[in-house]
Amino acid sequence: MYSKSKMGMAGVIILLFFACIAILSPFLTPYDPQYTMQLASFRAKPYWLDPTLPPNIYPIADPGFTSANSINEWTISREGSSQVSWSWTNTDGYPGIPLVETGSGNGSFQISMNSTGQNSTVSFEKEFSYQYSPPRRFSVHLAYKAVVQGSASWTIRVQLKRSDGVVLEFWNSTIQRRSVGWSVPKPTIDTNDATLRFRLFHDILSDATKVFPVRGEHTIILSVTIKTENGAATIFLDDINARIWGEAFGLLGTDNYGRDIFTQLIYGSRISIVVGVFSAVIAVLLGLIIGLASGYIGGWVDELIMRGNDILLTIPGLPFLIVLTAVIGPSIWSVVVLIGFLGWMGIARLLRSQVLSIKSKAFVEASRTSGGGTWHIIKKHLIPNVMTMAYTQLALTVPGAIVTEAALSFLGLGDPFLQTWGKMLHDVEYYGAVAEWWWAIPPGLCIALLSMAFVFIGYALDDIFNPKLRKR
Amino acid sequence: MAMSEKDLIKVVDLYKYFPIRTGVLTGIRSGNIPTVKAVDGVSFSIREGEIHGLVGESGCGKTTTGRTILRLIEPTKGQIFYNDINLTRLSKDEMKKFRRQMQIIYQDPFDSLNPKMTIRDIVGEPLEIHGIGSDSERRTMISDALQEVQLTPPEDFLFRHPHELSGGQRQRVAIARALILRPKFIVADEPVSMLDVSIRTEVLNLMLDLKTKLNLTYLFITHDLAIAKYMSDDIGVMYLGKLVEYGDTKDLLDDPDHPYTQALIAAVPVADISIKRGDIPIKGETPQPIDLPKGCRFNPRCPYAFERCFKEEPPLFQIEPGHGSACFLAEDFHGGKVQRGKMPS
Amino acid sequence: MRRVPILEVKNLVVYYETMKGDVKAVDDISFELEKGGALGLAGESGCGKSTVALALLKLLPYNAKVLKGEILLDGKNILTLSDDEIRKTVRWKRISMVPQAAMNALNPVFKVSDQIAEAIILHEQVSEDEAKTRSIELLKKVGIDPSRANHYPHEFSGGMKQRVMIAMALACNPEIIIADEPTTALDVIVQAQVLKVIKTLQTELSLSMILISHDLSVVAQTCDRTAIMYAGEIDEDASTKDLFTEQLHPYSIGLINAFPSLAGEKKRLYSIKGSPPNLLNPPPGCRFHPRCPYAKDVCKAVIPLSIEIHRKHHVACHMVNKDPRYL
Repeated sequence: MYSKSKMGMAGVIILLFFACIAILSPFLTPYDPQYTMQLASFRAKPYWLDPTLPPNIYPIADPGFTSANSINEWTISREGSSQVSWSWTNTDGYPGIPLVETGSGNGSFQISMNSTGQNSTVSFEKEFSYQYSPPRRFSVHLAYKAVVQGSASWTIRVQLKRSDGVVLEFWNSTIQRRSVGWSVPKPTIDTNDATLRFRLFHDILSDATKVFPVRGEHTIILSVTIKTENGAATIFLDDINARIWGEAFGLLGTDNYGRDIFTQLIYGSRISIVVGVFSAVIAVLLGLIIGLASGYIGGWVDELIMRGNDILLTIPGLPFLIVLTAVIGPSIWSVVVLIGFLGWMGIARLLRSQVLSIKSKAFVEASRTSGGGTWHIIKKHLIPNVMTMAYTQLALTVPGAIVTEAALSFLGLGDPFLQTWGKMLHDVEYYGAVAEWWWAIPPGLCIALLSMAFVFIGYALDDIFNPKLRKR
Repeated sequence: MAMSEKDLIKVVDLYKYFPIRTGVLTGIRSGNIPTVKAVDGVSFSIREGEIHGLVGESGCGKTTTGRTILRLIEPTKGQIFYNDINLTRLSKDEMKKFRRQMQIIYQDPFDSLNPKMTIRDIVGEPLEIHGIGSDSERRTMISDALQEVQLTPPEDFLFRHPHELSGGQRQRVAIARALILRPKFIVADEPVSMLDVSIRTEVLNLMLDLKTKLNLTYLFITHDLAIAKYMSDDIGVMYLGKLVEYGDTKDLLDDPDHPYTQALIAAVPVADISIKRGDIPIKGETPQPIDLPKGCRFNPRCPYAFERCFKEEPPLFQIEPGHGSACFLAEDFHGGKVQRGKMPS
Repeated sequence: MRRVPILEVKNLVVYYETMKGDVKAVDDISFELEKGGALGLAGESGCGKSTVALALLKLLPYNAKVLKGEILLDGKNILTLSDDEIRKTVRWKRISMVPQAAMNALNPVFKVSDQIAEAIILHEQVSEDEAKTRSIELLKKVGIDPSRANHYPHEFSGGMKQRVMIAMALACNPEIIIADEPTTALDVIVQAQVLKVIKTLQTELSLSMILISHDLSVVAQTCDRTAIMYAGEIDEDASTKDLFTEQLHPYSIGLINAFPSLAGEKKRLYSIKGSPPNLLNPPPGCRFHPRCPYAKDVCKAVIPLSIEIHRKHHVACHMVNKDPRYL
């Protein structure tokens, strides 16, 4: 019956699609769009783009030594005195650093030397295979504790033996003589650390590509040296976690903070729909009330309101919004309110003319003849006949609101903690990532699609409510 | 019901002027604002049980008169009496009580029904406004009203919308709505002119039957003299805001006095070719009621106009009891026919 | 002596294609227009009379299809002519039209005489001056003073605008003029004036005329023959005198008796029950049968043919025809 209903149906389907995405966001992705950072290397590419790119690789299977079997993945060797012993223990474990990281709980590895006058080095080796193109970042995490009685010294070293035989020393605790509670190396063992890169490669601009330039078998070596002069020492090791940061991650890669772009896209739908709909609702409600009042009351009140309307219409929307946002401060709700308060004028004008045309119809006068008063006429005749246009306007205003919010965010005036689609575009532009099309195109595409859906719905509504506009 | 001698409606010296341009500045400007003198001093009365026809071409003020009687438009001057009560003196609330007794049927059957409402809501709206009856009582009243206007079975129509009905059916819904409060007086403003010919008779006959059944009084406004003849007991002819002739239908149509009435009757085509048609004695077209000529407003077109016609406005002269004409030539009427075609000396 | 028909329509069928299906607007109608005669095509709204007018000038909208039939102008079927040929030889030169609500067809920004002159220039090779002179002549003929020739449409009243349109229709001296509801939007007195103009011109210029109207009284006053259309078919076709004195088709009877008359005694009007059918799905057989008080079974199944009952009085009704095949 309705020729434009195909368009409307398309619009509804697209809208439902986005609505489902918005509602089901937590189920579609486990990450938080703003706060789950460092999921992979910065600006990692999508996993499907290049199969030679490494995903996140964690060579060590049980870094926290959660069970007695955890020892088995390491190849342990000893050099020096045999008076040293090592074992897995359940009584102690790295507790973590409050607000920074959590420890793996009880379960750690201990190396102890009890007899004096001994000198021994215990080495743990883990060999792993790396078959990808060189990564840009490599890091090692380590937690250690030393209990020293009497006079003894201890040293811990972290090394990597490359497939071509070159050994790189990543960290050396240097000779320590004292007991130490659970600690981690400072600075952290991370190719992101410039001093490490300089020390290893004499080149600040290098990165982990120099660590894994060639595919093959590499070995992580952890060695603990204990020298007891006149005492004993026990070293505990826990949360030994090596990580090759992935160059490929997720459906759409990562942004400059290592956040998942796909997650941002998914959650962005929530914001766009909410912002779009709420702004439009505010604008239409305002327009409805003002248009109704102006049209029905008529006379000089009408003139006054309409001239005020005209004056407000001349305010250039986006610049005004920019200034206001700069003054009030960026927050998504102020954006919603502002778009609403600057968008009602055109609607008020439209609804007012609709009211004027209905006011003059015979059935309104017939109602007056029957004795109907002002409120009765407004309620029973004006509002129902005006609502159809109001709904259509609602549908058609949403796209504008969505795009306005995107524009504001793109210009950097939106909420800096909210990854909206517009903010994503801002990030792309700001970080110069325009060539990374998997990051640059999807947000814009989504903005366009969602707006289009509302426009289709609006046109279909218009067609349904205005039979005169239908084709034969 | 036979007509009683009592006047149900009395219109006394009714005037309605519309200022031409309204706007913010109109009130500030002093001096003469050009006005449209839509109704310019009209007086007549309608007896209880009568169908009073108000006839004239477009722009003559008949529709404005009808709506002013119901105070849907406020009169500029003049009084309207309903059962001897002066409606023009009533407040809005007091008027609301009287609205139950006076209703209107409009010309356009589509415009007069809210397209978003169902037939049941449309016909039941007056009940809702006045808070009459419980829900079930209302349902019965609405069904009865639909049956009265021969929209049967009522259940077929209750939940439809106006656009699903034909023009004739819509007009009947409008009649049902007008009648549901059991009014005594109805203004029918060209109720059939937008309907197809074969439907018109149905609606007209329905209105006649309902009048007898429910003791109604009508003011029947139309431009179609033949329909006015079919429906009305008395007719008033209006021209440019004034009543130029009034009288019993038969008297007026068989023996019209005012030159305008004569021209109107001569101009109506008749579906009977045995009747020879003469020439229309007047020339030109009806002007807008803005720039009215001095004297009798018909003088630019009247074939009999003489000096006095250009100086004074003729009042309504009585020709016979119940038959009057606003023409100076009628003043000389004393029982016989006045000769036309002869210039009085 | 039998007058020669200047226009003959034979078995014309015109359907409109719409989204909901085919609207069978004109279904097998035939009639004749005598040279110098005036034929009235009467019927209610939606009966197809305007479609007939548009078909005669090949001005039907894009979704109208002429499925069958011939329109013979002086013996030649103009339906076979191409659009170009119709425009050059027939439209406005031999047949012209005053369309419905014609006074709204005037362009408000051009002077009235210029608009008529434009019509002339489009069809004939004449200079602008000559066209202008001719247009002023035409305005005089319809009773408009030459001093008003340079006025704009908004300066004229409704009746005068209608007369301008009549003048425009006469611009190229056509032989046939079709007037589609020429007086519908006009007041009574103006209506009478315009009809008088039409009638005078028709006699003066020996025009053949088809007047289309829903108002039977208008048709009765101006035409010497009348055809009554209902739901796309012609029910009765006779001289006006015969038709109004003795109607034969039940619809004609109902229609004529549904008009309140200014003359004669006041009598209760007859009303035809029901309403005109939906032409998407017209009733089978005689399209009037759902409303006809005399309908029999045969009427519901077989479409009645139009038979000549007496001289030049055709009726399409089984009860009247008394066709032995169906009784």
